[in-house]
Amino acid sequence: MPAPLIEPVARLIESFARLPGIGPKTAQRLTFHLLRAPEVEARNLAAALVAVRDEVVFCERCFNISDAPLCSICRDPGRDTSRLCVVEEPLDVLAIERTGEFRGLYHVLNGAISPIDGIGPERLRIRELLARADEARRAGRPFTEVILATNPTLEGEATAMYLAERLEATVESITRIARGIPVGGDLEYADEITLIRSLQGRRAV
Amino acid sequence: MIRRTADGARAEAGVQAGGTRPVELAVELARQGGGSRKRIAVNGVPRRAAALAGTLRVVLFAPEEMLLVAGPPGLRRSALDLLAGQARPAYLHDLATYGRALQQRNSLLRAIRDEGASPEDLRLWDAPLVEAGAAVVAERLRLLDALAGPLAAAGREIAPGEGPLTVVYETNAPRLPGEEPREALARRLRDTADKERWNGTTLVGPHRDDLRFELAGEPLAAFGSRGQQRSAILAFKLAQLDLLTDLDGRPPLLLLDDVFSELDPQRREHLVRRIADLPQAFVTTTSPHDLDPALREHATTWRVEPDDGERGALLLPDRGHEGPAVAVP
Repeated sequence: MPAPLIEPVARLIESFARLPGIGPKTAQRLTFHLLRAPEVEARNLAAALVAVRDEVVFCERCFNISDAPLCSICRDPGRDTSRLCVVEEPLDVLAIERTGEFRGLYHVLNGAISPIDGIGPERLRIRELLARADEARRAGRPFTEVILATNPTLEGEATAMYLAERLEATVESITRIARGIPVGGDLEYADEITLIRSLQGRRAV
Repeated sequence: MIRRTADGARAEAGVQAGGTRPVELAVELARQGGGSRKRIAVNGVPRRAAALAGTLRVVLFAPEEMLLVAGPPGLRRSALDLLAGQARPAYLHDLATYGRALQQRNSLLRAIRDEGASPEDLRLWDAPLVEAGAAVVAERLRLLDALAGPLAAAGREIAPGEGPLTVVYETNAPRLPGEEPREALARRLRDTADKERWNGTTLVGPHRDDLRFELAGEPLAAFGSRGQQRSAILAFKLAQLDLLTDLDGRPPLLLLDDVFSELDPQRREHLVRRIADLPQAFVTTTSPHDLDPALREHATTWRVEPDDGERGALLLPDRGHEGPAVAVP
């Protein structure tokens, strides 16, 4: 029997290994890195972990991550409140914000419908989205456009379909993000499926 | 397979096909838990298995496939899927989409039965299931259509005078006159809705379709002798060689894993003639005496022997001829 790891080390390795994308080997490497690193580095990491749990909440309107009951986007008076972009995860908000192209509001579902993972519509922030659209309509300021920006996966498409059917009555128009060739990409290197989809989604110039 | 004393196994191949740039393929098996994990790399970049389909076309003939005619339907579906994926790599995407939609749908059917989930949500998965399912069926039918000529010709060659050899696609969603495949599948889904909710699983679709081998119109699984079944399987393999070659003039690689002992002298002889015509084929056997002497004449023979050192096995050249390779473990 090899000598067992002392308990605090084993516990940290296990905690790292539970994170997505981190296997047992990487978990060990991270643990031993922190053991060797200056103490302040480890203490900073620990403090950051505590802060992220204590100080970050979900925005009560759009369910993006936030440091206040309403997130900075929902608080911003300069945003176009007639447009709404629906995404799966907070990271998707960051991605779209980086473009600087969209000035409307967001709604974060926190996932996509996936029966395999036991995720039905009721497990997502869908009820809140429908209530939000309905409220806006009652207030006489219905969303002029809801962009369904869930991922172009089977689950993302199913979620978009589900939402489109339920939003129809309360918003003016529903759109779905396009699929196709990445900008600056070479046709030669695009995979066949992407090429097929972009041919199907072609438009007149 | 991983040697008992080793941590893993690795096979590499350099592929160069008519004027295209060479491609390095590597398949690695590593021990993981009680089983093993497969990793695939193309030019050193990790890829999914589907990426291999367009790179190296292969027709594999292994002893397990002697059950192809009379064995379970899953064998015939896999054989057809493997061929269709090589003929048109986009097929594998449709097949994967179909498989995923099927899993989601079956999970939901169980949730409806056991946890009272809403049956209305089935429609979310019906759409991709029907679309991808119809694409799978259409491609399978197109492929069988293209295979019909080569199959009949190979059947005639191997067993002259036995009547035409055909393969019939048996679908559980047959089309009514004027109906598209997707409409037929959608209709059958509606028809079986109550039953599948009871069963908690999707009962119709290409995952339950089958192929039927027929000789002179009679189903070989029920009425064929073992010899006739083997002739049909051999003809099916040779027809695949022809079909894949016709795509772009590049013959696929033929891999024969220990099949000579399963064939009688006449069929062996036929197979050897076909191998001799190919630019490259790999034959493995545990008993070199089963090999046709004519094949040994053509072939470069390699003997695979265990190495007592760190490495798994050694390939030792037996004789230095150009032509198909024979590995003798």
